[in-house]
Amino acid sequence: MATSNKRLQKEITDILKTPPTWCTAQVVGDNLHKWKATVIGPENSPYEKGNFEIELDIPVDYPFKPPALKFTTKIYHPNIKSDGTVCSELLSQNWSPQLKIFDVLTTIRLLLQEPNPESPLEVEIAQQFKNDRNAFNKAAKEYCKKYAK
Amino acid sequence: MSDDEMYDDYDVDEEDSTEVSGNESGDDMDYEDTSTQDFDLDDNNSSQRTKSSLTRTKSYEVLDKADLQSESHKLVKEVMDVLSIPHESAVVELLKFMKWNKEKLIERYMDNSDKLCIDAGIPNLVLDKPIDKSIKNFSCLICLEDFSPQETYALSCDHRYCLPCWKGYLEIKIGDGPECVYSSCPAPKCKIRVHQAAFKRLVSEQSFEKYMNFCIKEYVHGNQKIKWCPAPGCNFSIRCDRKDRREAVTCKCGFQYCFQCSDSEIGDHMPCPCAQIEKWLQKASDESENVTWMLANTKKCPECRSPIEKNGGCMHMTCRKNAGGCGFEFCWLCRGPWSEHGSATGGYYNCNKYDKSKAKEDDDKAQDAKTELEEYMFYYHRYESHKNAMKIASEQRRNAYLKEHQILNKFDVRSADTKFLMEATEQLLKNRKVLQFSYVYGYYLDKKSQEKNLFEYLQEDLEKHTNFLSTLYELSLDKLEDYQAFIKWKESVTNYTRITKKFLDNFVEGVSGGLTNQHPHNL
Repeated sequence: MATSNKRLQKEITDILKTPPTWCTAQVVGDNLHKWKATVIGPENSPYEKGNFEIELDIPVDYPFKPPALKFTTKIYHPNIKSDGTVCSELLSQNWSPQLKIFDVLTTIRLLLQEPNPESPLEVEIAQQFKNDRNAFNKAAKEYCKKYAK
Repeated sequence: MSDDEMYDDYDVDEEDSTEVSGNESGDDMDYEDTSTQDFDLDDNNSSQRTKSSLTRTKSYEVLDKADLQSESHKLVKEVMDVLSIPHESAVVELLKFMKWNKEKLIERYMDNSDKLCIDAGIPNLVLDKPIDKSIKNFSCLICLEDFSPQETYALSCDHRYCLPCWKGYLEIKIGDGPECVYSSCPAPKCKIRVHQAAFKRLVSEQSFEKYMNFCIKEYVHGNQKIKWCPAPGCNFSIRCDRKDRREAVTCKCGFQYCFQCSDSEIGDHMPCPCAQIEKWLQKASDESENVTWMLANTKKCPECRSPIEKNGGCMHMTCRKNAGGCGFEFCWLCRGPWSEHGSATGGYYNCNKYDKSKAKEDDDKAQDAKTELEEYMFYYHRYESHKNAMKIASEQRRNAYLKEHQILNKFDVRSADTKFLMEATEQLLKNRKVLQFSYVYGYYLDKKSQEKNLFEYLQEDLEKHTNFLSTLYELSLDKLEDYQAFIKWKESVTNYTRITKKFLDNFVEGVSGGLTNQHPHNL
């Protein structure tokens, strides 16, 4: 707990000192283990200009265990379930205690840029992504317009 | 499998250093004593059997934690010697990577040691990176705090972290379970393995002990000849050198089981092969609802053998033609024609004819006409009965124990004089277990084969012997008037236990080896 609090404090201070251009992050209330972040959809993706809100639950064993995250903004994406959960393997498989919340958000941004249809959570969206990219882009854009303002 | 092959793999308990005494009743009995033998499977083979039973060598070994530790340690030392590697921890990593296969490891190491070491996560067999004395201050990338270089550690990859972060990282891995033995450096995507010496240095003593236990688990897991005893809570393991061993192994905890399927619930299932048991249990779970219901609710029409359900009402049954029956009217209790019933037989709602009737005999006679489910039920019913008898094994042991004490009080004998009771109890339990599975074996035998004929004949005999011993042994102590009577009873129980044991051993050997030339071994 001591390690995680100290480190989370440092992380949030760093983010506030030099805010990244494509995301925001803040602690919810005074609980260092609950964060709220937004990721702006990357350019040249169907999510461009969308604001995606994400909730992060940070375990007491952090940074030895990865945070759990959930999209609170509806999104049309093969690796993000309709309830907003993201495949946990994505974070746990290659997790290193050296990685920070900022790195997690970077991974999310990469995932928006390049969905991975090979290990999907939403099978139908993944199939569409593979077989009919235009239709996928159209649906993703529509969702983005409707929900990710 | 030929007979001879079968016998290669049998245990002589005299040579068995790991056997627990008292568990194998009558093991010390004289094999040459043939005076009590009233049963031979085959005259030509009997002498050969007696002889081979004396020359059989043990093919399995019970191992405890210390055995496993010293065994794996020995293996590590051997590899260190052969390959001239000075670091024990490095060799452990190589062996883990090669699933503890020494020969393969040496072969691959000779072939391309650099590649093997990289693949195993211990490049160049270097364990760690020494501290660079020129650096004054060090900032840990995990906790983001500053430390003096003495408070840091790095594996050969030079990903340096503070000691508290290493401790936290590795202890959480240990807390997560057995996979901790394959922990790698905390740096992103770094594949360098955290070896034993690093664990020892970085985690608490208590955690290191846990880690070492996982290492032993991993050693057993990687080793195909060693398996954990499946009995709940048992920490022993058994090494069996024969891949196709069918005879049960006995763990030091007392649990007797088939090494192949190592199932804590099935245990020993001689004379059946594993695959047959699997098939049987599958069938049992598929049919269980049907069978339970049929057994509980139906009888067969005495005329046409259709199953009939009694859904209430009196004993007057009509086998309804509408439901595919024959129209016969009969009494539910005695299954005799209803026309013979009336006030003379105790009224319409009572039937005192049941005891005198031939209802049971009818069942036996009509076996030929049984349908598949009925036939299955016949075997299942007997299988279950013996299984249920096994379930109360602990109760039976306790009763035997109580009886021993009653004897000690009543007849003023030494405790050695009551040992026979426990031996008889254990023998009976063994018999029930074999009988239980013999009904599985019997079910799958070809109906008209000679094998089945002979099998059933022997099975019936075994059942008879078992029941006889059971009755003899359950004799109430009130019936033993004096010491002389007790001694007489003791002798006959001892003797019969011995006979039964011999009978059982011969049955199991004979059946699993095939009684005739056409035995169905590959079920």
